[in-house]
Amino acid sequence: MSELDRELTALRADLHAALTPPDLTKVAGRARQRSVRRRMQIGAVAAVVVVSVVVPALRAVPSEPPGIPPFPQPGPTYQVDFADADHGYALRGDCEQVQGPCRYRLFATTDGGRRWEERGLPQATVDHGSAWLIVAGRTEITVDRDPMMGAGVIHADHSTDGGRTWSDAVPDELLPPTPIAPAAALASVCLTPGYNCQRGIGSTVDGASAPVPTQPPLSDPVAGGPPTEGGKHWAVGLDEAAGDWALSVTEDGGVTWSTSVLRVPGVPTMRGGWHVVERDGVMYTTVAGTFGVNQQGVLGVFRSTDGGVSWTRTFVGSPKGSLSDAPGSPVLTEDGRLLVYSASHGTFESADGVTFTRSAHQLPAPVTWTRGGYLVMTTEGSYELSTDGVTWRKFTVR
Amino acid sequence: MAEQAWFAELYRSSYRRLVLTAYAMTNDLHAAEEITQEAFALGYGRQGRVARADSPEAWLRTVVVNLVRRRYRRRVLLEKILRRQEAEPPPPPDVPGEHLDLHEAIRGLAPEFRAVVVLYYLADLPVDEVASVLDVPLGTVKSRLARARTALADRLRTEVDHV
Repeated sequence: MSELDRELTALRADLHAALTPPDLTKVAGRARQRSVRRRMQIGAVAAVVVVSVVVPALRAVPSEPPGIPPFPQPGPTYQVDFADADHGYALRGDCEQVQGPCRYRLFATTDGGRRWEERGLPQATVDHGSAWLIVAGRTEITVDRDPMMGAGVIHADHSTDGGRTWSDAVPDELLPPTPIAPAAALASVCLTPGYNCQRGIGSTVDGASAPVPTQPPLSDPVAGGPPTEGGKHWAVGLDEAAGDWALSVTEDGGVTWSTSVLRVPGVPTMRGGWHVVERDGVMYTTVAGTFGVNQQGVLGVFRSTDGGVSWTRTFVGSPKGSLSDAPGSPVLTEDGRLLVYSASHGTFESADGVTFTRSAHQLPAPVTWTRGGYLVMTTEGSYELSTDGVTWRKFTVR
Repeated sequence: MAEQAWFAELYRSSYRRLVLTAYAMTNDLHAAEEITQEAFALGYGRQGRVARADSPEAWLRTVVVNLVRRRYRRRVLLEKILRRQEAEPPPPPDVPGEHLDLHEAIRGLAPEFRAVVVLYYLADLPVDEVASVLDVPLGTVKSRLARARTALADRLRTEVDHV
């Protein structure tokens, strides 16, 4: 470690020690004050005053004042997901101004991304926030608009015909417990509403939240997203009895769960750090997280051959190891190789999850598992998709 | 309060990183704390949204960035109204410790270099998240980090030489 790195590490420790979060009750009080203020509609009165005072001033002074650094102008963002090998959707967000509305456009494909057709959105702009695409099935989608700075009930646009017609939905609405549809993705839901959200596992049904019939035996569970190739859904969280990280797997839509404690060094990233892939009855779990300051990587790799009932740890990560700095998004190829991408070191592969060597096939970026196969974004709007992990097909959303 | 254990844990584990994210963009530690608390207040009132987000911390980080930008826009607006020719410098940081030279050197970097250093080295964000916060390509973050390190090393070496 260089002298500069030692100094930076020490300064980081100083800053973190100097920053003490105020009691959470103060944040709660502030939130309630915000709510009261909203109800009093002070903003509407202030807007009238601002417009009447500021507009003449703006007309009088055309130049930008010096001394304030400009922010970069955001470019388009894309969110792409597939319901199966053929049916997919892409949400493009154009946020040309650093502040103000983002314009959204929805595209649909029925041939695995070869051709995309634009579908209309009932509300295509979102102020000061963003929108999320939830693909619940081949023709069932929800575009969840999040104004972020706003308050009140959050609304979403829901479609059951692939985005041709839309109805209003409320994502926070809690439906009765419902087994996850085999092709649906697992999602986090609030089991109790309002300021006392107890986080649980469920799925998006008709644009609202439906918990699974039986919650996995995990504290603060995090949903694993789309099912594996073998149709298994999974969630991670803290096993309270063991006091350690655990993985729960269900094959029956959340009626019953198999839960295993998976011990790794370091601190796993609970959201986005866990990945489960499956092919021909073999499952792998990779766990990414941090070993320490600026030391991210794969903390551990686990293998299961009994449908996720039991797991064997095959690889233990280290800060200087081959899978350091890897986000841990794995690919399990048709011929049984496990590929793991690392931004710094390239793509590594393993035939057994135990030893990793540099792969002949270098992935261009982190990979996402979708119900249509493995997806990697090469540049904004350009992707590669693979159903076997070996051959990759390029496509562009437009 | 038991139901909110996840939010309390999110608050405890993310607060410092989010303050430093705001600090990277404002160069003002007090303002960064104020913005972060406002972001958590927003999140507290919308726990359903935060719970459903793929990454609750990333959701809060987006709110922090939006609040910083809104504050920036208001400041630009205010200065237009007041017809001021120079921006008011941020107040000096209130950071205890023995590394004030380095802290001052970071504060003296150009904004685009200061931001990557604070986000990567002090807020402990991975490079891809730094790129996401600043809305620049990954390669740009890496090159700015390299250049910022060189500048910091030179500046600190110069200060040592002058002692």
